[in-house]
Order: sequence, then structure tokens, then C-alpha cells
Amino acid sequence: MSAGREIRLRIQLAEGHSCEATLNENAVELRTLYAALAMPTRANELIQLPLDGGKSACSFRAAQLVSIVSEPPVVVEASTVEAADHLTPRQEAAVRSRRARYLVIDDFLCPLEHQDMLALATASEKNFEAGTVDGDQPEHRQNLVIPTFGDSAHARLIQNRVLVWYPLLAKALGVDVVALSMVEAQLTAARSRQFYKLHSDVGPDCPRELSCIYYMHRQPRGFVGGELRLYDCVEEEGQSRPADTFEVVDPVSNRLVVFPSGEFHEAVPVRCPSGDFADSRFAITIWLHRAATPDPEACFGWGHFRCGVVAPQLARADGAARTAGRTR
Amino acid sequence: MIFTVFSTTANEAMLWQSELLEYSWGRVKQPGELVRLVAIGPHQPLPRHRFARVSGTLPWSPHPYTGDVYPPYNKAASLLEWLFVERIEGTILLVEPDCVFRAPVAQEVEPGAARATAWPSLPRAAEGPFGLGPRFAFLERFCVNRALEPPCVTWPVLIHSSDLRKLAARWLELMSILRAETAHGADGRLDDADQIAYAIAAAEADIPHAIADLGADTAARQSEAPLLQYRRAIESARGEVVWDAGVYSGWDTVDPQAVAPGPGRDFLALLEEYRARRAVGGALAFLRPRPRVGVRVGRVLDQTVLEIPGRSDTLALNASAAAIWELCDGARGLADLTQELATRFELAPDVMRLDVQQVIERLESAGALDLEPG
Repeated sequence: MSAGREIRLRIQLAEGHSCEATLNENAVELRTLYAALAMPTRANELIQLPLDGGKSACSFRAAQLVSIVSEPPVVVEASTVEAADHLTPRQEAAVRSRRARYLVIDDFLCPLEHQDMLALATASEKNFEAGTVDGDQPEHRQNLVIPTFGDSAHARLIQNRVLVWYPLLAKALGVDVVALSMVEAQLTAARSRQFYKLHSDVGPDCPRELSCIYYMHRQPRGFVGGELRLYDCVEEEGQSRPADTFEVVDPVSNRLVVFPSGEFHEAVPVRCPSGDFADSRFAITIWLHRAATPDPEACFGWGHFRCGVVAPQLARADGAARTAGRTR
Repeated sequence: MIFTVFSTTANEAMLWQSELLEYSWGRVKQPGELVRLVAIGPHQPLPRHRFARVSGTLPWSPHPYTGDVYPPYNKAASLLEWLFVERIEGTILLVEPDCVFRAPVAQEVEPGAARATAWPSLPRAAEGPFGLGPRFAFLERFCVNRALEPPCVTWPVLIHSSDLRKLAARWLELMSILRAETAHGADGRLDDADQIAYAIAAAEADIPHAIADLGADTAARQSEAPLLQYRRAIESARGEVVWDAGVYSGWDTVDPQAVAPGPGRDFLALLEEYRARRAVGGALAFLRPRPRVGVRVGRVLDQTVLEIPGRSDTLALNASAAAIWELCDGARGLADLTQELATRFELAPDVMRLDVQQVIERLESAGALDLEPG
């Protein structure tokens, strides 16, 4: 291991408190700090950081940790955090909690593409119909969708762009790049009092791998609410359930939010004082579906991208590599 | 903060180019950070540099969806990944690996005010999308506004990270489209897809690029540009090829005087300077050791001892190490140090070089010395 860089940290704590510290990038304290940020299970642990070259120390409970700003940037691999999770002795728990995994990309489309997409949505009021879920539960979901949107050129434009990002998104989320069978797209509108309650996007016959929500609204924003809640997850005996805690993502226009489809999430109700359809919170949801059987001929987006197999350079040494090996 | 960024693979051929660029970066004291993005598979080792920060990124050549082998995919994909993952904020000086610094580029840019080198080769026509000509008619299907005018620019580019972040994915996508759509044409896949895609993506993202004298080709007769690109062969006044990057594999002697004054000679002089220094100093060739701030020097029973901040013990130097330490003043390089010591101790420089280098490296790792480019 190299001597390591000195990392300057500005640590934001609950109730507006903060402290600054400098740690070596190889320091155990640094990994402990990020592990505490990433893992709600460590909420009650005491964290102590050396300040002023060890002459003083800052102590706080992990639950008070809000954010860490580092200079230069610190990129924490999932394995590093997991390793740090074992640095302090604690009881093996059958119940494991973890934070919601998601990524946010602002300015996802270029301005003209974004305007074009929004213009399509606002001009298509008559094509929207009530969104449904299995079992027809209106108390679970109330919003509007255009079922045929996935066949349009607009859908292909955003599908293609998502596919360009896909390998990077998979890497950043710590999931495998998989062979795809479908790139599903849906245009939705949420008007006053419309919502989508807590759910995940996967089901027994629904092999969705990655969910991407692209938000649009006209300026100035004509609604309030409509935020996306991404719930922390409790894993117990092979089953997952949402925790009581969650992260909130504001539906900023031209923003893409990406998360593994198994993450629990919810769209909170929208309130639209004008009642004008054009003031709705519009969204395009893209789902990448895992292929049960790789298909080298399957093309997506504009038709150039063969994503029915995993390219060897994107395959991991474990599962995905075997997939690539079988098909190429 | 200016990030000088270049993208490579881990290919052996990239080694000497990256090393030379790093040397020239340190030599002109270019402000900011030097970043080498390396498109690399999951189990390949990352190359190491003394000054350049190396960041591994997903390989995109061959293209993961089309199989097209086109190294510039790596450039856009690496930048996209680096900007996204590391949340970089500041000015990006985007350069090719086959270039060197002749002078520093110290001016930062604001968002929405990129500067770049002129590229007269961008196709221009009265018709076709983006005024690129009928060959590019296929872009009608993939672009919302084809009336935009792409900037005629190429690398080096000076652009704010927030702007580059906005256009990088589209740049990569357009490159893929341009290559795929021209695959079956009479001229084959578009060689310049990289630059044309960048220009269109910049226009679509509404990021104006002012033309700036940032880079020049070593084949140019005259230029004061701070960066020199050596993609093309350098010829003598009689038209004979004196040096060609395509066949150069690193550290053979070159003769700058065989070329007329100008960018080509400047480049060859730099290459020869580094080659000569490298030959006598390996990795420390272009570094000048100086005592780290806060180190205190004392003498105990005729022995030189160092008190190093952050260490509880003192470091005792033997007579040889003390002689080397005394010459580490930030003005001398390894070759100068070795020569002076060889004279003093009446030994051949070649005999002493390795010992001197090892002592300097140990003093650096102990925290007593900083090695600065110069």
C-alpha cells in the first residue's frame, strides 16, 4: 500500500454541527467514517476523529453523521465499506439494513431534447390514460400513462442515451451488467393528488434489472410534492422489506434517477394548484429487463446497440463472465 | 483548479507517450493536477506515475454494443466516468496523449465559455444536417435540431467540468452513431467521428467554443502554442522524415538540429532532453529533491540527524547519506547531484548513480525530502 494522500474532510453533523479533519486515505478512521455513513446498522457506534495532528479529538454518534465533503474526492468501493464494517466487533445479525442505492444525473438530455420531450408530454393530454398495477388497486397508484410511448422516436432517443450510461451506472451501483431482453419505456403524468405508493419494480414474471426515472416539468414549476422516496432496505432471511427510513429525490426537470429495480420506492402525492395539465409532474420511466437467454441479435435504442449479450470487457469475473463466455 | 486530462489504454505503446507528457507537464510547472484515465479491464493492473493521478475506467473499445474497434470511444467514456464518479469541479484541459507542454496553460474558464484549438477539417457544406453535407443525412433521425452550427474545434480543449459533464454522454453516443451509420458507406467508418461528434454535442448542449491558440502540430512551421502534438512525422528541410511517432518505441537518440527551427525542433529538443536525463536517472530523471518544510537538521557526535515532522524518532544519516542530503537544495537534479558527488569522491558517475537514487528515495519515503519536477 502506498503512503497515501492526505484527505481534508468537512463533516456535517445533525442540527447544523460540523467539524473538519485531515486523514490519510489509508487510515482506518476514514473507512470507518464512510462505513458509518453507508450503513444505518452502525447508527449507535461512537466515532472519534483525531484533530490538529492528534492533539484533540472530535467524537460523535454515527447516527449524527449527515454528509462528508472530501478534498480530493474519495471514491469508496462497496468492498471497502464492507471491510470497514468488520473493523469493530459487533454481534452477527440475521437482520441487515442498508441504504437505498441510487444515482442522480442532472442535465441528462441536452436542452433541445429536453424541450422536445416536454412539449410532447404537454401536448399529449388526450393520449394519457389511468396507470394500473396488477390487481387493479387504485388506492396504490393514481397517475396517467401513455401505453404506446415505448414505440415512439422519443422513447428510442431516451432509451439509447440510457444505454450509453448503462455500463457506468451498473459499475457505480455495484451491480453486474447483464444481457438485456427489453428496454421498456413509459411516459407518465401526475396531476393533483396523484401518487404511486411504496413498491418495487420487480415481480415473479418481471425481470427488471434497472429502473430509470426522467423528470420533466415546465418552468416555473406548477406543482408541489411529487418527490421520489427511496427506502432503505432491511434484509432478513433472504427476504427484503423497506425500512422506515428513506432518501428523498426532488423531481427536478431534466434529471434522471437510477436505481436497481428491486429498491423500494414511492412517488408522493402531487399538488397542482392551477389544475392545468401542463403543470403536471411528467416522467419517463425506463426499465432495463434482464434476458433469460442471451441473444446476440437483439438491438435496442436507435437500433445500433446489441445489448442482448454482455461484452467481455464489461463482464465480471463471476456470473457475468460466464454469461459472456457462453454466448461469444 | 485546472485538471490536465488525457485518456489512454494500458497498452505498452502508451507508456513512453504518457511519461513524456508527464515530464513536460512538470517541466513547465503546469498548475493543477495531471490525470491519466486508463480504459482497463477488471483485473489488469493500473500503470503508475509519480505525478499523474491514474484513474481506471471501463474500456469502450471495442464498443461494448457494436464491437467497433475505435480507441476514441475510450476518451469520451473515460471522461464521462471520471467526471461522474469523482464529481470533478474546475477547468478541464483535455489533451491527447501524443502531445507535450511547451508552456503552461494557466487560464481557467467559466461554465459556458470553452476554448479550443481550431479544426479546419470539420466538413462544411451548404446542405445536410449541421451543414456537414449530404453524407451526414442520417443524422436527421437522431438529432432534434439539425440547423445548429457545430464549432470547428479539436483538442486541446479548455472547458469547465460542468460543461463537459453535460456533453460527454451525447458525444459518446454520437460517435457510436456516426461510426455505425457510415460502416457500409463507400468511404467506410468515419475516422473523424470523434471530433465531429464532439462538435455536434457541444452545439446541442449550447456550449460555445472560442478558438484559442492552445495546440499546434509539430509539422507546423511556426507556432507559439503551449501544447505540441506529434501525431505526424517530423521532416527535415529537405523533406526527409527525421522522426515518426508511429515507429518510435521510446528513448532512442534524436537529433533536433536536423529539423528547421519551429515546433518540430522544439518537440525533438524536449524529447532529447528527457531521453538524456532519463538515461542517467530513471524515474528520478526530472526531479529536484529539496528538504521538506519543517525538517530540522542537527549534528550529534559528528553525525547528521534529521528531525522530521510527524516522526517521534530522529533519522541519523551516515557520511554518504549526509553528503547527498547537503546537495538536495531544490536546484540540483539527480544527474547534477551524481556528478558533484562523483567528483568529490573521485568515482565514476555510473558507479554512484544507483546509490544516490536509493538514498534520495529513502529520504523521500521517510518524509525528509520532497521531489519536485524541474
